[in-house]
Amino acid sequence: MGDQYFGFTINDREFESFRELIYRESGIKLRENKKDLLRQRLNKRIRALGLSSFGEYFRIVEEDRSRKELTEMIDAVSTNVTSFFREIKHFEFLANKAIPETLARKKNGPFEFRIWSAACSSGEEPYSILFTLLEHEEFGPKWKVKMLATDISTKVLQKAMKGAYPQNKMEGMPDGLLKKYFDLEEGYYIVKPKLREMVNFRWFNLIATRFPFKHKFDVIFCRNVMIYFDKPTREELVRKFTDALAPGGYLCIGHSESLANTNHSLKYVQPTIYTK
Amino acid sequence: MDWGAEYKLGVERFDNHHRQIAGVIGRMEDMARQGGDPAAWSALLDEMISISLAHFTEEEAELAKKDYPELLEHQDEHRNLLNELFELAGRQKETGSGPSLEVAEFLANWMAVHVAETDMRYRGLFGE
Repeated sequence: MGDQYFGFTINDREFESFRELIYRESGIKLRENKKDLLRQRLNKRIRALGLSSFGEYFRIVEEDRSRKELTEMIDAVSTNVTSFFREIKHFEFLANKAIPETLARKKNGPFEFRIWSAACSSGEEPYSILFTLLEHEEFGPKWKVKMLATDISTKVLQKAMKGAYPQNKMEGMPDGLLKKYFDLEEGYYIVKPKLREMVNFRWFNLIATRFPFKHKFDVIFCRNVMIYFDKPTREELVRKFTDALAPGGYLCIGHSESLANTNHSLKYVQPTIYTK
Repeated sequence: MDWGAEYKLGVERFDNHHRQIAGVIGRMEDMARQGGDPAAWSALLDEMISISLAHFTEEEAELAKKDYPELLEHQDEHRNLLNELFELAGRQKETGSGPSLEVAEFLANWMAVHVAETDMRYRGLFGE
């Protein structure tokens, strides 16, 4: 309530400038109904930086060569609930279908399971995938995990690499896995170093870049990203994912996203899961 | 869609809303399987929009009153679904397309994840 009456206001022209900047830099297309959200969330940043208007803040973001403030801003407008094993159906699907199928498909090698967590946020998603693989009865010692985890925000990537999560934020994590894969230190569960080393964390902008991968992925997770993109950007991204997938590989998207309105050449498997 | 005990929050008002929304989605799934004309499908999409909008508004106001720390993320999830729904409904009106099982299943899955995983995070605010 306070923000609404005492916060900085944003006029339509300023909102347009922010929308354009955010779209150009991240592919995120803020819709009209996000004006209020942008205002609420950036108010905090403006106050934290000791500025006095949205116009002033816009110049800071635009002129910041380090892109640090740009990242802060993108973080502020694209928040998601993250937790371990979020959207449990994806992990059930991995265990019951994607893992056994992939291992069977690659029974003559290469003995690598290649996964990309394309918007890995603070790490809960790639670690949940990793645990699912390591716990799988068919995933024996001859198999290697090749796991790439990327995000557009360096801030969350740092968190992901540290792999430290407050003790009270471990909902969804079975006790057995907690004991096996984490060390408890001063109120934080920390992913064991050996496991952290199994994940390659990299900064990556999904829209600005051509995908540089030599080898195809067996599974790609890209959840809660496309929801922020307009149709052409979505279609381009799905096309690039399709290209990066091995035949028979799977793309998992977020539960608020549907490709029902998007032109693509993948096959629909079940809600939010597609295959090449 | 089946609306079982795993979706029960224990907050009567919202549990009732959820059951109503699940009912609309169930009718969409039935129509997608048994067939129906584009006008009837369009009406169901509109009903889904209005019933979710009303529920989200009420739920968000209640969570704001209780200073729920994850309100912003929660709101985002609501808005993201609404945006997707507006787009689906808008496209349907343009093309006059008929019932789609992919769309009905998408909504059923959204609802299941949102209630079982996202709403459950706030149930502690409503101690009985």
